[in-house]
Amino acid sequence: MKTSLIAALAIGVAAIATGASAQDFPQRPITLVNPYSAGGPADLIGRTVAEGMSQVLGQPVVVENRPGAATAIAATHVAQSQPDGYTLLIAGSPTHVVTPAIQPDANYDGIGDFTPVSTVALVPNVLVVSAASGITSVEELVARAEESAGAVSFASVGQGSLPHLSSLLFQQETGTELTHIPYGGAAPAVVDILAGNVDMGFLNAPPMMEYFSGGELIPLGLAASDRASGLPDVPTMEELGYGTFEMSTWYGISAPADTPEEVVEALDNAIAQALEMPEVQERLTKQGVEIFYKPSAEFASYLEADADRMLQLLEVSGVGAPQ
Amino acid sequence: MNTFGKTNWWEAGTAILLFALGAYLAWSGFGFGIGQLNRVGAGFFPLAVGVMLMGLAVAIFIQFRQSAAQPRKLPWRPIAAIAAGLVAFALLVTTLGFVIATAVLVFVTALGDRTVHVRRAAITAIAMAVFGYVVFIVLFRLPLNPFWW
Amino acid sequence: MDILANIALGFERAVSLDALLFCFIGVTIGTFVGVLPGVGAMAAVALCLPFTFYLDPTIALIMLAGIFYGAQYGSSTAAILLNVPGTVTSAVTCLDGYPMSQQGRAGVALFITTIASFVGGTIAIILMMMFTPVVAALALRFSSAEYFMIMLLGLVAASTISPGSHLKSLAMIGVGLALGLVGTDINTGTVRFSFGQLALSDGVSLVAMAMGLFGVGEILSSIGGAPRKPMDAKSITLRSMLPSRSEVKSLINPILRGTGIGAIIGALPGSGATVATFMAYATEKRVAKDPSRFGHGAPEGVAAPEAANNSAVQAAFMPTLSLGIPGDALMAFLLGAMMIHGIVPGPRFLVEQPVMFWGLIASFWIGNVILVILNLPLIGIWVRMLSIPYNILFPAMLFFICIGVYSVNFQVFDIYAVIVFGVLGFLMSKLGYSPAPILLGFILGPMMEEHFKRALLMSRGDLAIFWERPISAVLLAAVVLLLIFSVREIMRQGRADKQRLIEEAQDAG
Repeated sequence: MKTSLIAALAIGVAAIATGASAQDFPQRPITLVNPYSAGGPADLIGRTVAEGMSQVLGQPVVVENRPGAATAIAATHVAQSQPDGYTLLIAGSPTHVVTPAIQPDANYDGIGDFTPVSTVALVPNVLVVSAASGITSVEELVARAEESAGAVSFASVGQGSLPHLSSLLFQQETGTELTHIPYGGAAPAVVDILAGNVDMGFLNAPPMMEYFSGGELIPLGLAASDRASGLPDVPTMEELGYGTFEMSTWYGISAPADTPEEVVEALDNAIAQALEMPEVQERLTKQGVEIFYKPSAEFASYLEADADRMLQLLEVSGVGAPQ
Repeated sequence: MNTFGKTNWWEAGTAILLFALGAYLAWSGFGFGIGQLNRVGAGFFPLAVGVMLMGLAVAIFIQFRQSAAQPRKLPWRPIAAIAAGLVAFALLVTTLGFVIATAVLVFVTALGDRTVHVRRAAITAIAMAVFGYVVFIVLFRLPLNPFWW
Repeated sequence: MDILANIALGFERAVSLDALLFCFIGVTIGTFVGVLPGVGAMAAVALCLPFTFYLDPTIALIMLAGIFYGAQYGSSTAAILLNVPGTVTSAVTCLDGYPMSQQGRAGVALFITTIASFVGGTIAIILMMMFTPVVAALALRFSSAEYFMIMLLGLVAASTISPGSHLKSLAMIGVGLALGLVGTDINTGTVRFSFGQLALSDGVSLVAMAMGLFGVGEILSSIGGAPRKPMDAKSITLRSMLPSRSEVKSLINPILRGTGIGAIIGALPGSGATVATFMAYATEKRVAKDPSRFGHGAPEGVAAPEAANNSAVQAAFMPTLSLGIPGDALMAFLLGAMMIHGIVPGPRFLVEQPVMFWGLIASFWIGNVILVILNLPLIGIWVRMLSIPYNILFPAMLFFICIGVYSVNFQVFDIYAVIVFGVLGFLMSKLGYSPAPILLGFILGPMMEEHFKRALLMSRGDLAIFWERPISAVLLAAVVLLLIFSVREIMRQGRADKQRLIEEAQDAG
């Protein structure tokens, strides 16, 4: 009896506490900076979550696109903003890990300059081949790659992109040597795989769903540690016996370093509540985006593990090394 | 006056500048690495464009060295006014805000024209600032600070 | 008749009250942002996207697409009247549109662009209705080798486009190619010629460059040179806007040729409407009996590029809708807008969302009709713009250029770039170098480099890929023929120039 009373009191105090901080914190609109141009998956995720957040916080959360320099322009902008929680960044491996490591003109610290707020969503990457290639399994693909070095080509969306790093990991795990064909974006890469001009690629699943159901493209394996709810029948690379591929395109929200703890907490709470909203969930999952929520502390350790993985791959392959 | 046979330094100078640009590109191309056919390097295109520009520059030099065309004197006042106006806009739009930046831009650039009266320039500047505020901030909602606060 | 039933279905959707209303709003916004120099469709579409969030997806797209093609109608207005292109795609229209305006034929030029735009747009829409499913299959046969060849063809075909010296025109293409090199190389990730500027790591801003070279350069020429005479607005009657009957007749073929070129280039994802306008202009100059009229107010030089522009813009929806491949940044943006609304364009989009697909296409045509109705009466108003004293007009133009350039990326650096390109454009035109070919080299260069390298990666370094693939081989043959032709033309012009120079010198002496 006594304990439940204390618990009730504690909840009450907590409610007042969060109520107070919620009153203090967003007193004007919040800007969520998107490092990609309008229209991409980051935009979809950002705008959807921003809408949910503004309902929770009672202040508008506005998405602002500042594309350029492989996310460095947006990241620099947010890193140099006031650490008051009113300027936030749509975060991912590129903003925090890969770009600071390989873009020579990027002068910011991907980890030290930011406070992770929470992760939000992820887009699964899938190893895909064209049905016309006659390949139906990873084994057959590896067998073909082993015939001669460089015989099999893979598509990426640029040096140091997740599709590139995933294929580097694939080469490491299978001991094969592939030809790298970089593209400026995912759409032309998908078309060249469809047409049989490129053999394989680890690419974002959502834009290819239609081709999966139509049978023109075959998803061979998922580059994630767990199966994706949008692609329940596609086994993970690990299940197929090719090591751990923790290579999903994840999105989070970060604030500048030294943002006050209460503010981070309020934002984190708002994001968590937004991700619980059915309309937010529906809009994201309809596009093949999976909800992927980790609170601030967990996000920080996830980011460190992500950095270790990516930097190790970059180092082994020599991507971004001065030529 | 017989201009034939004399070097036209405007034309020749442009050709020399083009040649220099080409040489710089080609030289940088070597620095980036030319690569091989199965792995074309980042320097291949700069080299190709540079060589092409050098060739064209030589041809232009030969062709136009003795052209009679003379460019007019540079209009320093408009160039200075427009450059100053645009620089002012660039500096002010992120500090004092969009409205002030617009007014200054329009006022300063308007002074580039000899025929303009200061009063007219000021009126145009204020009118454009109001118009810009209504159209771009109120209607289009550009994510810009209209004022410094 | 499947198609007829589908078209009926589409029109049923497109003539509903909400569709008509938002189509009208879209094309009206488009026309106005098109007229404003520097403020382009991209900025307008980006800014309107959040407003469409709560609309029905079909309606949202009808409106966003309306802004896009509406801007193409408007963009030629400033090009003709002020020699400043409203958007990059109308840079070519300056070449003959502005001289027409100087001859007091601004109304005629604007009338021609409206009609050419309408015809180009309409024919492309009909082609879309018939061929969108086929284009999907065809686009898959186009790989990097073909893309490289068609871009090389475009570059060679349009290389002698500008009036004046061919050699100087080629040099300007070279400068454009050089500017196109700035930024990150996709293949190696090497950042080239960025001089430590983060803002340059994605290359020079196209809008900043175009507005500097054409907009600021022209303003400098105008206020630095002879004072402009304000036009007498009373002289503009409906009569003076209409081209003569024989003129109309002589423009039918240029408009049709322009439409054809636009449809082909537009249907190839990635090539873009600007390139189509250059190729259409070059074609007219080639087939004309008297090419020397070009650059001095030849109506074909306005009609063909404008038809090509609008036809390309409409045709660009074919690969976007049927394959999900966006042709340019703007198409990528519309594609993204569709995805935000929960629609994934692709081969099954046509089958699964027939009301939306056909409704959208039908609305394009309705939008084009609205644009004609909207634009014809506006011609009189636009032409009266010329009676505004230039010392009020040019600061306003500079303001629009500034806000247009800045609103693309919110990079202050781009405004400084406008200044540099403005002075450069002014100096060049004084020395007889036309800025138009710079634009062509700048747009085509990076795409050519990307496709050239990718083709060689695909063939593992075997150059034979360029002549072993049949489509590529045909294009290569065309390039070689055109090259021989062009070289002969340049030599001939060179000799003629030399001769004239000697004669002039002797006269002077």
